[in-house]
Amino acid sequence: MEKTTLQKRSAAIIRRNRKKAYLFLLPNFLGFFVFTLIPVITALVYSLTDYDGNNRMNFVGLKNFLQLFSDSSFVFSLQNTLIYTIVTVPLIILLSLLVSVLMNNGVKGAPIYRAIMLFPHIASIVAVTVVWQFLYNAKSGPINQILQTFGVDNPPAWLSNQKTALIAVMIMIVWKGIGYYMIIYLAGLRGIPADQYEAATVDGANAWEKLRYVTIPNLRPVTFYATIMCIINSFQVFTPIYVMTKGGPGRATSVLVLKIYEDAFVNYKFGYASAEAMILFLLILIVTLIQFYHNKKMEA
Amino acid sequence: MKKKLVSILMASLMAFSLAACGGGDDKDKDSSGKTTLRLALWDYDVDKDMYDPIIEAFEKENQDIEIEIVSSPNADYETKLTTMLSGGDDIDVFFAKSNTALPGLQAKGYCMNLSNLLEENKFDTSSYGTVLEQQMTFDDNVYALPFRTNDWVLFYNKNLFDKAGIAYPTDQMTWQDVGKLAKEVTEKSADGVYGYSFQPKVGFIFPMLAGTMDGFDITTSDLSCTTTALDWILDMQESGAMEEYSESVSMNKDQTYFYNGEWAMMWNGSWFVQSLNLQENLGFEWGIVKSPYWEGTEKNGFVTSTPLCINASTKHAEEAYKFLTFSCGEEGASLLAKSNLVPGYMNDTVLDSYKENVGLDESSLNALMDNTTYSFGEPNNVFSEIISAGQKEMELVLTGNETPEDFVKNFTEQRKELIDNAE
Repeated sequence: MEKTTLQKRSAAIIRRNRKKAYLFLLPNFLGFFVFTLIPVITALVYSLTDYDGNNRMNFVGLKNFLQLFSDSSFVFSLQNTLIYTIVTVPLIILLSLLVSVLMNNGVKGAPIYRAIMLFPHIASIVAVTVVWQFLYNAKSGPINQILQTFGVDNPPAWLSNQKTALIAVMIMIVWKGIGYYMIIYLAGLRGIPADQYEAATVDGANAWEKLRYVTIPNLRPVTFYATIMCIINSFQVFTPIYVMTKGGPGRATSVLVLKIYEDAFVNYKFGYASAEAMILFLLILIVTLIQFYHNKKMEA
Repeated sequence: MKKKLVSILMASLMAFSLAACGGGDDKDKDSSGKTTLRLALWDYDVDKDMYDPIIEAFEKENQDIEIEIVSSPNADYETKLTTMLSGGDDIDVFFAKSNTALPGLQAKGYCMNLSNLLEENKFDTSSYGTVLEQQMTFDDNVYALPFRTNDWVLFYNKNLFDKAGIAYPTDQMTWQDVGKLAKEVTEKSADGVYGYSFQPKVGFIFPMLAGTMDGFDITTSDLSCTTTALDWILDMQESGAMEEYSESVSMNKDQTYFYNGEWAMMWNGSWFVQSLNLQENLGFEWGIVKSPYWEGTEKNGFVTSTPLCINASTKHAEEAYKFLTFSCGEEGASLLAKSNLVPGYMNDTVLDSYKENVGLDESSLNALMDNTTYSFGEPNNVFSEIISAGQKEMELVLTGNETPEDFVKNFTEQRKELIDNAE
């Protein structure tokens, strides 16, 4: 069948618009190429070499990757990162969901609470961390003083005890993280049609059942997004740990990104550090893929 | 029309990126024919008064050379330096943060081998003492000159000792003596005064461990000797003569607590003389004695230095060499001594300049002279990694997470792991 002139003209318009669209996308793509894609590929190449920043690099195959697992510092950091993620992500997601549901249900003074909850997120992480350092002070810190008035005789030395240091960092991160995900959940809650709640009321559902069968299923896309972002962020945690403990005491709070940073910019082992970064990338990729797969199954 | 627009866009983009890449190509020589040397250092804003006279004197003597300073904050310096050097920034001359950072920089090939240049120019290196050979020489080749050397000595607050009615420390003390003295001072002083303190950072405490055995080498020595020092620190903390490390750290304490008159004694490098002299209204007299040593070892003190290097890939080797030997030679050293810092280059002229300006009493001056020293041992390619692993492990002892015996066991294991992995 021959194309009509009208069809031909609209095809031309689409072509022209497409070109314009690409032109508008160009700056973004350029940024992506120069600052993301090229460095990522370079790091992949480095990870197979013994590059130290200056001397000739030699191809060493998978040596860096094999060495990683006999490097106790790397294993420590990997363990800590996993513990950190497994503990903080569910806590942040659950608590921010809980807080946002409470706020949405017309608690008195909700805007004030909302501002209070959001504050940790907008405050500078460095400043917040330094404040928490004081809070955690073993002798004169407010946290331990409160614990003592409640009859805890030997409160933990938080940041200087290798058993509690990571817990201390995680408590702060949960506190800081809730605000942001609360806002995302609040937006999601506004999008749930009121008639679903009305129908649930007619069917005699109580508050818990409404939450369980109306709110949470409706929030699934939001939860999906929030969990992915939260997991990626916690795999990449660096600043609070760098400021608060520098990975100490000993190696008790060392995490992957801190280890990568130290190997690259303190020990000048760029090849080795790139291999570590590749492992981190793989971890995040695998977890994200699993989530996508799971999400698809739920949608179907 | 559209095509034209796109091509113009692309062309300008390429021109831009070319310009960005090629930046700095032709700025080494300005219109007057001067060569610009780029010098990397830290905290220029703080140490301006120390660097400026040297740079001005050099530029006056060498009218065709201009020094451009590339400064970064103290804490970021090593990262910034590595980034600049590995990124191909045209730094010509740079300071290594300390002698322990030098082996890493040398192994990566950032430092120019100076041996031939020094020989050709018949530069006399005898005025550097043992530091040049111990800390700047690798496989018989010199890769840096010591700009400053820092003998670690014991600083003390005379007023606190007077108030407690206790005699001042002496040049002949062992650490065990210092411990006793510190406990006495603490007991007889007001609350909140500690008889002894380190700067509460692992880097300032760790060197003490290397003094527990004569000829200590951190790569090869049996580490069980270090328990002497660790037990000493734990005893000091327990007795209250020294504040607990974790407490000091969580309060972000530093040398200012010595300025405040809260610490009676402190082991620190000779640069601290300058810091103390810069304090106005200190409100007390202070003095220096030679570094304490461990019972049963030779009477040695710890020494660190600040190396000055030429970038191996500089395009101005000749000019850079001029600046290096000026700053680390007699003229530079005499000027540096005026800022109350001990130069690496030392002879009578330099010493006079130091004495004249430092305002120290005779016995304190004496404490800085003619010291024999120890260090962490032979530098190698995992040197700084071993030291850093040891510092982290030591922190576990200081915070009560580990016993000194655990430290020896764990540090020995980690050291083996680092050496094995480097092979």
